[in-house]
Amino acid sequence: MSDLPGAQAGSRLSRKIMVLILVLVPLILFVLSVCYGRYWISPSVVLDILFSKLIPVDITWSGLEESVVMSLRVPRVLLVMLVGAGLAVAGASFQGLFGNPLVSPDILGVSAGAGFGAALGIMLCDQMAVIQILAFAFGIMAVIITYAISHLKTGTPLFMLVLSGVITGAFFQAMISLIKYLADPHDKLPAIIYWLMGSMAGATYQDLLIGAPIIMVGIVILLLLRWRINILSLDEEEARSLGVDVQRLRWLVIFASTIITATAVSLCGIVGWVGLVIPHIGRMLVGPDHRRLLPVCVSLGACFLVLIDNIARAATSSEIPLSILTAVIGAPFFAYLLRKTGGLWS
Amino acid sequence: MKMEVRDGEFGYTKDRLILKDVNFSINEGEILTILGPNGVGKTTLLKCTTSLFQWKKGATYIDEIALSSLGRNQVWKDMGYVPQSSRGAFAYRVFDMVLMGRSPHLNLFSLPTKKDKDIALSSLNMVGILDLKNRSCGEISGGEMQLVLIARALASQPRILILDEPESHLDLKNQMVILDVLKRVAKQEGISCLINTHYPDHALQIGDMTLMMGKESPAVFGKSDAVISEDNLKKYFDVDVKLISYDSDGKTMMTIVPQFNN
Repeated sequence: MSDLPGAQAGSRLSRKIMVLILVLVPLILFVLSVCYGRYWISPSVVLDILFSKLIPVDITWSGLEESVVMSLRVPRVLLVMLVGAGLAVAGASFQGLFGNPLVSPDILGVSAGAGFGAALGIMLCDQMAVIQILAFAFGIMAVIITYAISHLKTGTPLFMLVLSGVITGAFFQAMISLIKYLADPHDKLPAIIYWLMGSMAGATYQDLLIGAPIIMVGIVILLLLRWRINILSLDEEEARSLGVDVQRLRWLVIFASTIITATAVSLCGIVGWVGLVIPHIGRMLVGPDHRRLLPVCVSLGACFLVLIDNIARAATSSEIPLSILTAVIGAPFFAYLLRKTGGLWS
Repeated sequence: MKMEVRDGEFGYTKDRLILKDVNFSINEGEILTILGPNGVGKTTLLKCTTSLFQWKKGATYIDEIALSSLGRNQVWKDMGYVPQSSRGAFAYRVFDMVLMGRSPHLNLFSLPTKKDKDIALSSLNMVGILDLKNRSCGEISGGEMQLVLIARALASQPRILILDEPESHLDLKNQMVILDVLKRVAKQEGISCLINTHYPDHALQIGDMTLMMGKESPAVFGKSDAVISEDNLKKYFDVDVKLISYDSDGKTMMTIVPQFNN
């Protein structure tokens, strides 16, 4: 009989070390990821360039290096880390809300809806802003449709919510197929397929300025609710008997997770696996208590996706889509952890 | 403190009532046991009493104030509910599970503080499982889990504890442990207990008052030793029993022996 991870006697020190690691590793990965690319820029130069925005620093680098760092790599790396963190937290929150560790953030149809919006946008025009707005709008709309189908006068039972999500997701998947079928196979179709597999290649400052605040609002709401999510994972009546307004709390969690996922899809397409796997890895580290799990997911999600994205932009001359890599790397890694721990989290 | 249910009436559908003319009351530190055959609506009665379900007619009162006029958090500060055994999807630490009982005292976005953690620890202590605090709910026994759920309900510092068959599915020893804890909670802490049970013996042992429900006959409510009689058990459960008295440490105790017709 053993204690849960993170709960051992005298674990205060090891917990402090873990917090330190979970804060430092993303920072280090951020700097290294900015260094890394088609050609390497040394960490000291990258740090100088970054600090030169805050304090005066002697300029020892070329204009090319500055523009590669500031206008290409920094927005991309920041965005990918934010999306990774957001998807992981949204996934962990949904797994808590549904009391089921097999749930991922797209269970209510948001990814399929947003994917459809993006595909529609690509077919209709080439403007990035239109594509992104349509993706976000249809992502939100899909969840509203799920809500409308599942909502009864007495509230929404969880199984109704899940089934309605399946229905909405299936519908929008079919609509994506329809768009693919209708799209011009020479230029539009490849663009749609590429988008749906997820990529950070197009990340710009503009994306960061609009997307980052939305994702951050979602993350902050979920972090504030993280202890309540423990209670939400119990039976509905049990949660109510602990004084929780289950319906209201549930929709608050769904709202926050949905804006994160819809924003993520509108910025970089559908990135699978992060929202499913990262929470499991988090539970192996700190146990199922969402008070600890959610902050850990912020760090793990950011690290995982930035590593994946580094591989994506390094592996070949044309980038490998993210969803392929998250699964190709994530699945064996997950299988390894699963074997090693025997599924300790459940 | 006095809790009262007056003229309670409830049905899942409009034309079929499950509960009718429900009347009972419970005083501070008293234990009220509810007896009745399967399907008579004992769990439903508890849920209506706590406002998890809405009475169609009648109401629950705490000190003459109707529950429906109190806010959600106020209701669940006064009442601790212990559901039929449940472990949930995630195996939380015992301490974290009990800490959830502090929820009615905290607002939506806040985390439990040092004070909440101290109260959770003292609830664990009250039911005698402080040493389990770091264990996972997934690896403790059914009896221990039941004590965890009782500790969680106590952590909200309620005036009334409501328990749905807390000792079902448990072995003899664990049944005694649970009854012992409940008696202690009622007599030492002054917390009233409302308990559904399948065991008339348990009602005799710890129940000050008993409400006996039946499908055909209207419920009877009164002192346990008056309500639990051979006649009533025949009438409400359709079984022949003998009530037998025996001596235990100089006190006269009663027990029930079913008569098999062979």
